Amino acid sequence: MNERKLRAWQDAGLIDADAAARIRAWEAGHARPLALWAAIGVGALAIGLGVISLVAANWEAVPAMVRLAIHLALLAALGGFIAARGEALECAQPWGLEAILFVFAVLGMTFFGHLGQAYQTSSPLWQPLALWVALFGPLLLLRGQSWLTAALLFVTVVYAVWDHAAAAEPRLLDNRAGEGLMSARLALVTAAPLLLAPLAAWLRERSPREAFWKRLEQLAFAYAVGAASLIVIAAGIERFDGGLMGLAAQTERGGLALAAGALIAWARRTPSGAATGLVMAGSGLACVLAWLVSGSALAAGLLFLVLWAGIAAAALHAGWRGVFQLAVAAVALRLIVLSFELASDLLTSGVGLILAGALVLAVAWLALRVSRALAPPRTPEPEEAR
Amino acid sequence: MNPRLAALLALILPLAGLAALWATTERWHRQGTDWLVPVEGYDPRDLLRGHYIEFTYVWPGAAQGDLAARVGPQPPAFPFGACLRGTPPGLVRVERLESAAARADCAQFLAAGEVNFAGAPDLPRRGRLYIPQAAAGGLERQLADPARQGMVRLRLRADGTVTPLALTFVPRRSPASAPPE
Repeated sequence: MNERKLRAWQDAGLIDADAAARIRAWEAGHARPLALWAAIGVGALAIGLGVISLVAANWEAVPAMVRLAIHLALLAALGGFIAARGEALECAQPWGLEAILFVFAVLGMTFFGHLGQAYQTSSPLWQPLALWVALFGPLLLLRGQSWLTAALLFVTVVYAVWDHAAAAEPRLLDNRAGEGLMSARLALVTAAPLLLAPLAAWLRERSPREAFWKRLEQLAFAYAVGAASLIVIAAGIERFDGGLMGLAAQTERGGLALAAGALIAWARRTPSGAATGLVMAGSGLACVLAWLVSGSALAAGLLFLVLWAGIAAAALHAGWRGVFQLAVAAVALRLIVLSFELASDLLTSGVGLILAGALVLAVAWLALRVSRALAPPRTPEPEEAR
Repeated sequence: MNPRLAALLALILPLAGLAALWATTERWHRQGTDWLVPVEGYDPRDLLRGHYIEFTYVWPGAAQGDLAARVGPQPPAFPFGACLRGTPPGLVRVERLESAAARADCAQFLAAGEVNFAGAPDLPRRGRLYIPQAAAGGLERQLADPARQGMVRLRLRADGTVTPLALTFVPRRSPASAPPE
């Protein structure tokens, strides 16, 4: 809480001493422990990494069976603690439960590596990750409190689908190779994480763990927008022929994103829900359009601008300040890059350099003005975990 | 479902799943035939990464591998895998299998493990063996020694998959990838 501001308001006569005291008391009881969250995140991450490196150190002195038994016993002990004390912890210290869930899940993930080391098995990484999602996913979805578990789950899902795609088709990124059926299947698999967004949007309004579902929805949303932006950028570089960038793959992506967007808008009937759904659907549409304009730097550049202008408009509608400013920055950066793409000789002469510099400054100034003048006001964030 | 019961089941699922996975791996580990296969470190500059060793199998009698795939017009493909010939663990050669029927007749069948650069099924090319940290330096020196041939003892399962078990060395008799027997 900003004590200086509070005193200034009191001095200016905006609030009286009673109100200031009440605000202080309320803030003390409701403060979002951001630093605490960061410390817990770093601490839990350090424990997880420590566990991984302990396993990787391959203690030859201890027989593999004993090592595995200790590992499983540790997991069982943590599981027992969650079963016995989880509910009480969830009420009193949700961040404590979040950290324990995270350590439990990471410890479970390292068990796969430990088994592989003990039995000299090696399988493509996506297989243990997919099995991990199947085994630990239900627990994280049922008990996860905030971004730590949401991010662990979502990042693992995304990593697993892409590792699966890369293992199934080593020539994945060569856009001319690969058979149609395989590309169609892999495009569907890699787009599937999008479907977590409507699920999270639906549960966000209906579950007491709003923070967890909100983070999961945001992660899936960012995945869709990020992937669509990358595809549109790639469209400016080369013509999409087939494979994972072909029309079939882009149509599947587009269809899945459209369905996810419609479901989000249906599940969350608020301006924010409508905006999320629209941007999700727009990202899908951008993938299909990217195929159409691929090979043309100008058309792909314009498509990128339209996509992010749409995101800015949606952010205005929903009142997302940060997203609006990010969208304005993306549009400004793309405009600058586009101008250099269209007139690459700008940098070769003195006059050209001056013009280019002036253009960069003008776009930056305009972006700053738009970002300041139009950005929705800061809204107080709902409390992180309860 | 009762939320408390669901939460409990969600906790039991990973524990039971991991225990079952361990039991399955243990049972699977005990089955199979052991063979000795010559290997090469596939990148002399990066034999040891962390505490495992990576190597390339040199299947005697099968022209394969990255280089062959990139240089040759049509790298050899193994759509039905290969048959191991010799008296275990002494591997004499591998024979390319031509059909599913030939595969059924082969007692020591090696399945195609991965696709080569042309996208065709190929014999397992790369392997990885977890090793104790203390042994890493010695193994690396021996793999780099031109007078010694690395041999991996591996276990061949009924489904044609292989698991490396140990790395040993024999004096090298003929140049490069020739089998010692």
